[in-house]
Amino acid sequence: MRTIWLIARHDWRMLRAERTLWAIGLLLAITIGYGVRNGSAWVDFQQRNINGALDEERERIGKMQRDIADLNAGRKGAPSSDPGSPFAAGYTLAARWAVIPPAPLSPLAIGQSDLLPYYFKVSLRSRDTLIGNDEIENPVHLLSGCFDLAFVIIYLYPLVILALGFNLISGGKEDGTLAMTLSQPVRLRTLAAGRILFRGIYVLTLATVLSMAGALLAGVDFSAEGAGVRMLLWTGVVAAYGAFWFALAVAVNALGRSSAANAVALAGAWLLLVLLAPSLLNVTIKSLHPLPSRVEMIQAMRVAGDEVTAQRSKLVAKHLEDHPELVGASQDTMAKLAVRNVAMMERMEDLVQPVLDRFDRQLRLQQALVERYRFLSPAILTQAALYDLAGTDALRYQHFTKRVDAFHKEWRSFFFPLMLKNVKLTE
Amino acid sequence: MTGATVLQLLLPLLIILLTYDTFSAERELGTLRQLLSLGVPPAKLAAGKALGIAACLGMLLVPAALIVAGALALSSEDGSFTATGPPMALLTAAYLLYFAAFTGVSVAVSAKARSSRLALLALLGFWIFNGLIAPKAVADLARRAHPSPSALEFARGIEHDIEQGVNGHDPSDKRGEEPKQRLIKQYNVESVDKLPVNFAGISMQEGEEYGNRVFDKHYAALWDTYERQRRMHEASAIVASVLAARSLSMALAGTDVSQHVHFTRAAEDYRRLINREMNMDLARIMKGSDYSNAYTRGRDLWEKIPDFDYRSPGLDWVMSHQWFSSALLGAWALLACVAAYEMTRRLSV
Repeated sequence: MRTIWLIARHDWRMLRAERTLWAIGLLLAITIGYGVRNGSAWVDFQQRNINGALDEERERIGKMQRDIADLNAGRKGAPSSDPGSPFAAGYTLAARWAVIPPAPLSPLAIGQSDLLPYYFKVSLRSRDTLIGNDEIENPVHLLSGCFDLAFVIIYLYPLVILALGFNLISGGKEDGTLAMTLSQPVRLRTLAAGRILFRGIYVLTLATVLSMAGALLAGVDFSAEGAGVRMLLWTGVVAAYGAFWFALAVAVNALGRSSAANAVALAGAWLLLVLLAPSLLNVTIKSLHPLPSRVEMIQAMRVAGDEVTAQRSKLVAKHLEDHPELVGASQDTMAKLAVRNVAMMERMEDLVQPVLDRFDRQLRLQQALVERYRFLSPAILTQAALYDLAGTDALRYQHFTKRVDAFHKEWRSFFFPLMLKNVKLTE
Repeated sequence: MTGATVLQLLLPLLIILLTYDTFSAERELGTLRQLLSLGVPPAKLAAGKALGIAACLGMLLVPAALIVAGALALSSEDGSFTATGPPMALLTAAYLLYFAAFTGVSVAVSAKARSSRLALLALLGFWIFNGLIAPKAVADLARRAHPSPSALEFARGIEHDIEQGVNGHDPSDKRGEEPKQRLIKQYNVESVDKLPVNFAGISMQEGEEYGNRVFDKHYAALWDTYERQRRMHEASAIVASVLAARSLSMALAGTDVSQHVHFTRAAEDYRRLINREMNMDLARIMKGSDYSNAYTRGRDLWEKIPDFDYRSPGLDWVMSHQWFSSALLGAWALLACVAAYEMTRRLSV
């Protein structure tokens, strides 16, 4: 055991004397700093938009309450749209923003959060108006993707490890120091163990430093719920990912080839696992289970819209048949309008539903395939884990969209009865 | 992953793997001394090495390119090369320059490096910077230097200008009142109901035109931001040749932002045409302030609207936006060849 430590310490001295190590360290520091800055900038941008939306809502609802109060006190004539009408309130005046705030770790991995909507305006307008409120972004930027800490970890960190490990044993063999060392009373196994031990510790330290430095630079709020645990898990994932690449380097060394052959083999493995496997999996999944295009959705909505308008009166009659309790109430003009709106909207949504269902089904199939085949590459696995921990994975956003959907339904079931009874809102 | 990924990212890697030890391996084997003793001029030596690699790549690429060109021609409207030929030729030239740059750099590094290992490491570093780091880093820099508005800000800006006026003190209700008075004066009647034209049609068209002014202002700003971002990407090709190759490749394939904007403008003009026709028809057919259900129109009105006939911009339009990228790509190829020549000239055993 003493020998192993001796070898490890010696290895450290040797590496320290090499300039490359410091150059790599500097490069890594720069990329981490740059990645975290980009992540923070994106999260700030999201937060600013969310705050903007909530401010707008507060202002609008405040104005509505003032208008209602003015109206009740008779201080003002009725404005063009009556703030007390459940119509105006439910459609525009009282509409609420549903937002998903960035999770504490999201500056570390932008993930899919630059593609998926993070705020919706929920009102009585039909569900399809919730679709398609994407962020404005230059498509060239979306093509290139983001330079965030997750990118540094998944793409560049393995390269650092490989640069450190590709000549672990073969290097000594080539410059003759291995034969020299082995002439001492030390076994090859001990020597290899010592070197692996030191460099392994180095890799793990790097993982911790990478993660912690990123978190500190991004100003992650560790007091937030679960942030500490997530950070620990993040570090664990990065360490496991690093361990995989280091183990691979050791295994390739054990084959006993030259340093150059090792370098080519390891670079090939990196290319295959980090670059090719994810994009090939992506292409395969997309061609096996393509998502319906947006044009198809728009087309379906137009056809449905035409049909619903054409059958307007029939739909109202059918709606009243299904809801006999409304027959008496629906004499008032406003209530009549409400019944018509509800009947048309419901029919419209029924007609469009198949396209949405197909979209959901294809998405589920795609995700099932990813679930199964992500084990093909540790890069895919790590990426999924890091996005998950940062809260920027597609699943979290899907969950959010489902909740928005539920809220939209609730909103309707609150306002529709008020509209039918033509209740005046007084507060 | 598309054909462009293969050409822009993976082929350069293939070039590097074929080239990195072209001189360094000879040096390590000891054959370099022999080679140099023959007195081959360095330009010929470098060109010969590069040609060998080019022949190797050509065996792979030429058949592939021919198949692609044939498939594109067959699937084009007239089944010939008239439409796809010229952009295909330019695209081929662009990629040849891009590959020449990589070959030149690889030969130069191989001649300069002390060992094959160092040559490979340096070239892999160059490749990673060019293909992986630079595009992302430049995207983030461009976003920071010229931020596009958030969807929310953009929508609120338009809403604000329509309600309060582009200059900030021209509220929409006042704007609605103005044409009423003007028309009453113009036709010399006492109220809107007596107008010989339909007020709803005219006021809708006025609102439409005001909205168009607002849209024009905001979209012009957005397209301007994209254009500034594009210029940053373009200029960054100085450090990463892939950006120039990508720009040319997207432009020639007709999938870049400039051509998208060109199409959006045409579509928007078409929308405006339909709206104007419809509003003016309403204004002409109905009278006064009547806009009841009595207004129904048949086929003839719709047939008056011409079909949307979009022509994508010609090759000269596309290339006029790409001269800087073309120049940079050319410069890369030229400098890389010069470097390869210089390094071969100074080749030491």
